[in-house]
Amino acid sequence: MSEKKQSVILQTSDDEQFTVEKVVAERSAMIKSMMEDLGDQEGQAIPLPNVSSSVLTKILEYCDHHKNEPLPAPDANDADDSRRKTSEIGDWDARWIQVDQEMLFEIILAANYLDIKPLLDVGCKTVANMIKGKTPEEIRKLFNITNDFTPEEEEQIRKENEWAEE
Amino acid sequence: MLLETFSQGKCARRNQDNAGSHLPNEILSQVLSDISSEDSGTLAAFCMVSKRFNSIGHTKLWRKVKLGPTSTGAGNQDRNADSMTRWNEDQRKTIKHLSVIHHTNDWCKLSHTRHLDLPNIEILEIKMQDGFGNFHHVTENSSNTLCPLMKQLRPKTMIIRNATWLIVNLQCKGLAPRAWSEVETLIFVAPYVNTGFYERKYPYCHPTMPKLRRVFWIFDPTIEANIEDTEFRDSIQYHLLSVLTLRYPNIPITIVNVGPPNLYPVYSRFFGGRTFDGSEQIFRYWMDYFYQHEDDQPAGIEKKKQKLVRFISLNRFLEEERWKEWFEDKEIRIWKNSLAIQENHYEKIQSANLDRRRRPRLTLRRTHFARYLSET
Repeated sequence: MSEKKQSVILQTSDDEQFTVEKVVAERSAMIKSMMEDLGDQEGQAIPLPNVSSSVLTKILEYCDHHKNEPLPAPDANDADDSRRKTSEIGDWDARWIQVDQEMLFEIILAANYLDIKPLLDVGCKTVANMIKGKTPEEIRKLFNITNDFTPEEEEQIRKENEWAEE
Repeated sequence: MLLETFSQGKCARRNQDNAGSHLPNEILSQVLSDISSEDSGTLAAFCMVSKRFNSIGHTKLWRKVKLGPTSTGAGNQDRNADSMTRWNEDQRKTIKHLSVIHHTNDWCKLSHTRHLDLPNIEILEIKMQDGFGNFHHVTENSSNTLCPLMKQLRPKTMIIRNATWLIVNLQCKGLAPRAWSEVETLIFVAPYVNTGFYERKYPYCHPTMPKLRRVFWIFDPTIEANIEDTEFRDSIQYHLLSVLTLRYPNIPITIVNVGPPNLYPVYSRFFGGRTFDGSEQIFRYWMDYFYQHEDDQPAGIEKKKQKLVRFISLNRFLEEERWKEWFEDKEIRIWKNSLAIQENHYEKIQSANLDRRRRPRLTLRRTHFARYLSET
């Protein structure tokens, strides 16, 4: 009974079920509040229709590694923000997030959906490091974005932003 | 087993439709917040990706604009001033912080009908040329002594980098008197080098700053001081303070990060051969001396002035002031690192000195001093 209480079942978009320690799953503010809503309904799986099993496997690794750290306060945005900005990515996180681009974006989307702020920070910082010093074309390729400027608009904006080029 | 393989295959297929293009705006904004606003090249590239990216990045890119001739060759010398004339109203209104690097009047010249109007500018930052205290060089065959870029600007905060004693020439070296009219906060970021000596009868008039409330003089810790250099200590105690106190007689002056030299005991032959605890003490001692010999000062000003001068550490400054409006996180991190290195260095020197029972000495340069006295 007590052992069972310590875990929760998560169900991914591809219908895989993961039995996860509560303390690990709680890293996700979204899962945490769903667990609270579910209360004592043991054994009921929490559906995560936006997360695939491969991404969840990866994310659970992260949650497990950080499970003993204090959870960020729900709405401590301002103070948190400044700490977030000045802090660098930790060594373990940096190694952990060495994945292909596609997986990186999937992780970020999932972190956003699952509401895991520290993970979203790590992801965004990693992407920020990737785009530093890149050309617009390289950034388009990275994000798979189509250039929707007309040639005239592009020339205009290029000239206006000329001061910014190093 | 079969199911597992199948689900992995499904994921792989899904991966082909790139998740990057699905990132919502708030995530892209967060990515952008991790790009330093100093890195305008990346911000500009981000804005040029697409209309959506431009709408996300536009405000951050245009909030702080840095202008100056680049080192990439003569062909680019007028690039920035030229592109500036194409800025639209929206862009000009977004600019809160303009940073201008020292240049010649060939670079900043504009046709007579044009000027730079930034209605919402709050901070004007000027980077002087190293050691010259100058930012707008006038070539011989020109009468254009004021930088036309600055004519219309009315910042509330002025940040002057690479400040030296030549700041007394500021007005005539390019800034129109009216550019100072709204200045409330004046910040000097100065290298730990000789600030030069005070010239009693400088040929230029001071800019008038009717709204000035406070002055900061920050020693930039990244320009490493040779703390054994007596000339450097001369300049701190003597020239800088006399310039600052005379120019801003009733304004609180905060001197930030006298730093390592303030940790250093200083022996002064000039002041009766006594040893001072550090630069601040010499500063104060000098200030007493200075006002006793300053005939122009109304009686009583010296006591009042002493109360208006404050020395604080860099950390205290960071705690007390809203420095994020003025400086980048990145720069502050570099400052702190440099400071740590210097303090470590100082400790080594100190223990070496103790071993040899040798006290560091201060030599006040008599030529400078005599000149000052003769001009008073």
